[in-house]
Amino acid sequence: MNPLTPKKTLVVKDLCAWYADSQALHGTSFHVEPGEVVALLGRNGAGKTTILKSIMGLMGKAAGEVRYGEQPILHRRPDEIAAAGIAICPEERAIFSTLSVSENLMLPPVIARGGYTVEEIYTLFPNLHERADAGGTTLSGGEQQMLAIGRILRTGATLFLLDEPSEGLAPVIVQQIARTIQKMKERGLTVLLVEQNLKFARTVSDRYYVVEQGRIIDACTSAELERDPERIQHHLAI
Amino acid sequence: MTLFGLPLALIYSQLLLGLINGAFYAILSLGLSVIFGMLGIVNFVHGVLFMMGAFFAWMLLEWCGIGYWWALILSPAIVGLIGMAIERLLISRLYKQDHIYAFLLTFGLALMIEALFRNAFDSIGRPYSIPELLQGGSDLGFMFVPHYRSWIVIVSVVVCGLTWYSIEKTRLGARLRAATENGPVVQALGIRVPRLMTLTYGGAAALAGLSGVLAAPIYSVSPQMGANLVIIVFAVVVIGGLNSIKGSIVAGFGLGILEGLTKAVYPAASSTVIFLVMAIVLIARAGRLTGRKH
Repeated sequence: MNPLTPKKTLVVKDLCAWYADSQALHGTSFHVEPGEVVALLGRNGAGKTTILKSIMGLMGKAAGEVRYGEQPILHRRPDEIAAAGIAICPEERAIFSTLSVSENLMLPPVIARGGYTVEEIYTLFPNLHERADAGGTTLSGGEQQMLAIGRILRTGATLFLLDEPSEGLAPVIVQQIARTIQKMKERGLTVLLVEQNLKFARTVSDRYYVVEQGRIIDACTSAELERDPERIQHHLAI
Repeated sequence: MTLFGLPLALIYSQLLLGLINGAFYAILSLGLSVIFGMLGIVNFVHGVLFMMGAFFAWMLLEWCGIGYWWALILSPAIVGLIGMAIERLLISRLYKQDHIYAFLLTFGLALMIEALFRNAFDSIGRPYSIPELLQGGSDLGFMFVPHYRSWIVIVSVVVCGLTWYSIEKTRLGARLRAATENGPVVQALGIRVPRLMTLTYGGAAALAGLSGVLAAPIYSVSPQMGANLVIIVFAVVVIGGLNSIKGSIVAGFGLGILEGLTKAVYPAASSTVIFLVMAIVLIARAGRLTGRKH
């Protein structure tokens, strides 16, 4: 574990958020301990992505409380929240087409020591190294996902919000992403994962929250899930 | 000597004139298209920023005895700071509104600033002399080229090149390009996008100010010197492709030269030829866009 990494807990309390006039989150509460990998599970439209966006300061209208360590972060600007040590990998990946792969990788500013070096990122994702000078969006979907994760590893952030990193990817790439998350965990980093793919989430997560209609309706640890695999499945079935 | 019945000397001199105008079009349209790409607004203040650049050079000389070379640095710096203030205090409040509001704001601001200058300095043009070092010219054998004209073209090419480089090849430029594509994500990745926008606007304003200083010795310095230019420059931006750096530079010089040649061939059309090209380009693009539906 990196001794420089401050041990900060993410606390979300009674979080509400709105898209224009329609309320998407109705008092969501949960927490993520330092070094944990926690997955938010739930159906499409349950509010999982909205939770990540609210934490990152990307929702125009939100209420409640979000703290990272001692610092309240709701209503702060996204760049201030990033400076507090939180980094997001959005669902649409948001790789920039007018930037090369290496420019995409170097885009987010380093906010603290202890982040991955470029060499370490290229070791994790050798494909990115080979295509460093190519246009960002000429990469395959899997490579773009690696780039979207790789670029936030550099910054020295301590909490990573990953929005459906396995979505639409080939099994071998999904395995590679899972290995990356495991390595992040070994390093003492904290991950809050949004997933619909329970099989993938189970390979990396310590704990789970089930989100439905903007609320947390169930929570369990991975040990509890091992004992009763059906527990969460029925929440996700359509 | 003649070409197509026209004296070659006329063609050459109009070509040079076109190249000079093109140099101004290129710098100004570059700034406009960067502002449009990043901030999403049509910046009607641009012509006034150009005028202020020329006026500050004149004021520095008349009131402070500061000559051309210092003005070349100081005047764009002042215009850049004014630009940043305009962006921070006024334009930034309108990003969340319909673009028409920012358009109206910059249009109104341009009229107000121009009126203030006219109030203070009248509409008469004020002379600003060419610095000693750049007086005179060279005889190329087929035509006489004043040094100051060559200087304008050289500065413009260098400035356009440097701007292109800093946007396409530097870290700051990468941030700018990324913010042009998707501002909210760039901000979530930790970059202070509002500050980046202020800097971008200030930088484009400084470019306009610089072209104003360059123009001071060849056009007379007057409050309305930017008003006509800005309309042409908008056409140049449209032709070059909104938000295209290279397009703005190439279209700026190309259209300046085209305008010059038209002046030699059919002078009556010289002030409309750029708008004619704009109309053709717009029709061609619209055809490409709608053509697939059929």
